[in-house]
Amino acid sequence: MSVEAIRPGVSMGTGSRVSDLARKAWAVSWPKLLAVGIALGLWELVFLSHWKPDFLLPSPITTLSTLKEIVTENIFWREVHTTMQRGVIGFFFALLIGSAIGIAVSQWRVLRVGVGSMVTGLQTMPSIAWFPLAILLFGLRESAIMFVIILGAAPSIANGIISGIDEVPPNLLRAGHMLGARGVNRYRHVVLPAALPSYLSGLKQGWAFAWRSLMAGELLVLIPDHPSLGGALSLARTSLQADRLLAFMIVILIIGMVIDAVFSSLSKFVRERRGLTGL
Amino acid sequence: MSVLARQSGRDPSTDRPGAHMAPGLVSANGAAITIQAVSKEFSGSHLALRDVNLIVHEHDFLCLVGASGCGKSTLLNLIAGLDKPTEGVIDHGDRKVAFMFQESTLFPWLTLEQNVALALKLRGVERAERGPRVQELLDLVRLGGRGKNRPHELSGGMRQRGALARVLAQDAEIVLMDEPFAALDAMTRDSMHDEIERIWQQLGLTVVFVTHNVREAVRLSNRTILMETVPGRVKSEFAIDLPRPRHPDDPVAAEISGQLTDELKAEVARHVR
Repeated sequence: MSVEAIRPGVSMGTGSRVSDLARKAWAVSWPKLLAVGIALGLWELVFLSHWKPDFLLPSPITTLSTLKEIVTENIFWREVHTTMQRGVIGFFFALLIGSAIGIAVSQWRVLRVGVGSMVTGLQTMPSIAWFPLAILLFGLRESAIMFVIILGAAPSIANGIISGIDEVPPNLLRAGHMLGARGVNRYRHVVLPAALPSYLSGLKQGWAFAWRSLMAGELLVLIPDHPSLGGALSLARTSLQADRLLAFMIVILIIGMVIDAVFSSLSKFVRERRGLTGL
Repeated sequence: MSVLARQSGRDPSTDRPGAHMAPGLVSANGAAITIQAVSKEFSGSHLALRDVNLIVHEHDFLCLVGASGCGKSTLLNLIAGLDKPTEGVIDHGDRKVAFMFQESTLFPWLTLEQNVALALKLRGVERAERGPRVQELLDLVRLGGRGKNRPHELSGGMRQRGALARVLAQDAEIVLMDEPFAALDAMTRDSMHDEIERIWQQLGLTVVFVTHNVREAVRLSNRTILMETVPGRVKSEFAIDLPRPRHPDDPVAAEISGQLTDELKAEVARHVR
């Protein structure tokens, strides 16, 4: 009897959890949907004003129906795959290099004086400015794109970890010291966990730079038999298919936003667990 | 006739409770910490401590009392090895030292259990032993059911009890406490006094406790050191030999507190002048 009595309660609990999740998802997504709606509305207005001929600036509806066709094409998914693969691999290397540089700079005073400001300087350097050199050094190859992604993303990641380490509350360092966390243990158990929120901000910013560098790279470095989103943009432009061009831009925008959302929710999760969020 | 005996004004005929001479020279216990001619100067700043000499005996509960800026926290940091004296020697043999800070320094990214377990891990306790030991320590500070909570989910008093559990996990003979209850409300502070006294007696710890609260010193210590300000020095030493547990409103305790407060006020006034 008691089991039957409990069961409805359990299923109700699950149901309310699902609706709770749906409510949360809606709370997060409606402002984004509204912004997209406004952007599409403005676009439609510009289209209706006949500022440019239809074949150069198609309407949102034409573009969205082209997008619907594009996503059913096999080649589209190969393009997405190539681009994402480049992004993920490049970002992964940027993460390793940026983290190592960040830790080294915050650890050694000499490095901080010598390299610290250079890291910030590199962050302000537009990634596209690296491409001529990258193409000279590596030719029109994947490695040229990787080179620029790493140079684009690593400084932000390094800066994130440097400011994270700088801002570790001194009392936590002293407490760690008294607990016997010295040397590697000091980093593993105190410094790095304490720096994590700032590190995640750095990763998020690093990804934004990596994504921009990647798009610039794919526009400039076209590799045969490696269809990519940037390559598709370039192709659509040269073949005067403005609807395809805009459709691919939307895809690039969506991917960028989705990944940004992943980093944001990761960052929020970490902050919440530490009681760092407000109401 | 003073209820308090001071090292600077000994009176062997005193026989009232809480009123005998400071045991600095006559204690049966050996020295746990020896502080010899210690001075500390911060670069570009005043002399924080000058020629401090002090012996802390095994199982002492020693309170350092003084006005703000008298160097009592500096002295504690020197004992802990968090800073180095400009001159002089501090020796605590190979006794292990743990430190409890004014604010909770529990790591916010770990649960309470994980915080205590980390202290065990860092001193090399095997993984299998950690779980039961963590539970024992949390039970000891009466936080048995709170192990899964993160620090921000606990009240100020609970956080300090958690910090105490982590300190005890270090299995140190000497525990240094830097105004650990200063940020707590009066009720919570009272209960923390009971806890710390119970644990000190149960585990036979040597405690050096910094406070600016004279009543707290009288409530807890068996020796209280009053420090002079700028430069920080030992001004006088008081033996507080009252039965435990003590109540701050107990007439003898209140009288001692009153006299210590007068001394402290005189010291502050001297400094202001």
